Amino acid sequence: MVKVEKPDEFIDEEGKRVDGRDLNELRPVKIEANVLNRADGSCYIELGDNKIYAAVYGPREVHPRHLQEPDRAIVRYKYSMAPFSVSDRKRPGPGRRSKEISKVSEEALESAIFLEKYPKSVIDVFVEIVESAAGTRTTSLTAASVACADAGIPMRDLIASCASGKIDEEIVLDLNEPEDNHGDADVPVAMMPRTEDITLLQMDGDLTAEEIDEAIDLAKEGCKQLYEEQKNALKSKYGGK
Amino acid sequence: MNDEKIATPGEFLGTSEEYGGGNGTFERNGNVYASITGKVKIDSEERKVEVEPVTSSPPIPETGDEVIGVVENVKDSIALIDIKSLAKEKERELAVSEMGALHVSEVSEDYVEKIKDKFNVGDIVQAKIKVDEPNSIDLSTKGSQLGVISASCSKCLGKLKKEGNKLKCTNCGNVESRKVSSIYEKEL
Repeated sequence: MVKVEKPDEFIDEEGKRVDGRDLNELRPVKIEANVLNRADGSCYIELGDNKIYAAVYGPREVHPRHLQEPDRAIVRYKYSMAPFSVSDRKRPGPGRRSKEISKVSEEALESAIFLEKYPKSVIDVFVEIVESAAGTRTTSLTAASVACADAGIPMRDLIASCASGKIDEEIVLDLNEPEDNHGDADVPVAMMPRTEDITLLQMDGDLTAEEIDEAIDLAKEGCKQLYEEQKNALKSKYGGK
Repeated sequence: MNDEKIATPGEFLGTSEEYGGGNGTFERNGNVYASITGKVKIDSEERKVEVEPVTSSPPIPETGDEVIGVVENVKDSIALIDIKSLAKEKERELAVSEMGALHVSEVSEDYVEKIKDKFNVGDIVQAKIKVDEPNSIDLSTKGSQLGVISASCSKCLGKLKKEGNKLKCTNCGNVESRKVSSIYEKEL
């Protein structure tokens, strides 16, 4: 197994991080909408070394029937990592981690969708992590919301999502793999950028109250940058400005 | 704002004083926003803004639409058809499958005595929506394109082939009478 080594220092004298980024800089991002033929809506995203596909099916009939809600649609979100997506083989199938991520992402995504327009139906979202390099749950959500927009599902806003964290006593945006594995804290945030409503907030590690506020504010800035990329992806696919 | 502008979900379109919101929009706190990805259409006379989808949209059956369904039950004067998709958009399923009723008087332009002579349980049918009301959809198969588009033999479940107005089983030779569509086995 290829271990991600802990660097001697996360931030050099010039204030650059191990991959040469500034403290408040995202990794390079590429988003493409409508990439899968058979899905109703889909999206491919690359953020740094992360490579993720999201596919949306529906609204369609709910099976099994007892999950059906008489007044609204339900969202089923499945986060799944390919066995080859990480350096050590990941045993395929749902596990404790991916079930948790699916649950919180589902709740983050459904708050943006007008569920009441499609009663008794289900919107299925499948996210497949092809290559993983820290921040997959946030990147997945960013892709899933573009895929929902691509499926023509009415939404209050897109969901943009990214993480911030703490390394070497500094709050930084969008942790990469060594920073995520050996850093002090990781704060994934998802929000609807127009209203700045946060729909997902988690924390791993130790932060003071002030640091949490700083981390959330920084992640919000990152989300707004991703929001622009999401809009560009949809507009360039469908030929508008 | 020019007419070819593409809006994405959550995009600000104008205030409620300026425009009323049409399809593909929603109002929040006195503003109108887009709810889907599409072209912004502004009707300056009606003071109305709409977003016309550029993506595929979840299909919603309406009066006049042609639909594809499966015959679930054949009674004395009606056949019950489980509507599965719209004929023009076969790729996307309907959000909720609904039952449509086809009355014997709506089967064809000619006189039909028993609906049993024209449909059988399991037939795949293309039909037109005549009346679309909550919990009651009335269908019609009047027209050459409408009727059974796929069926199997009632005796041996073999494949039925079109022969004139009848269907003949390729397996056992049994001849069955149906309201056969002109596109039988052509588009499936």
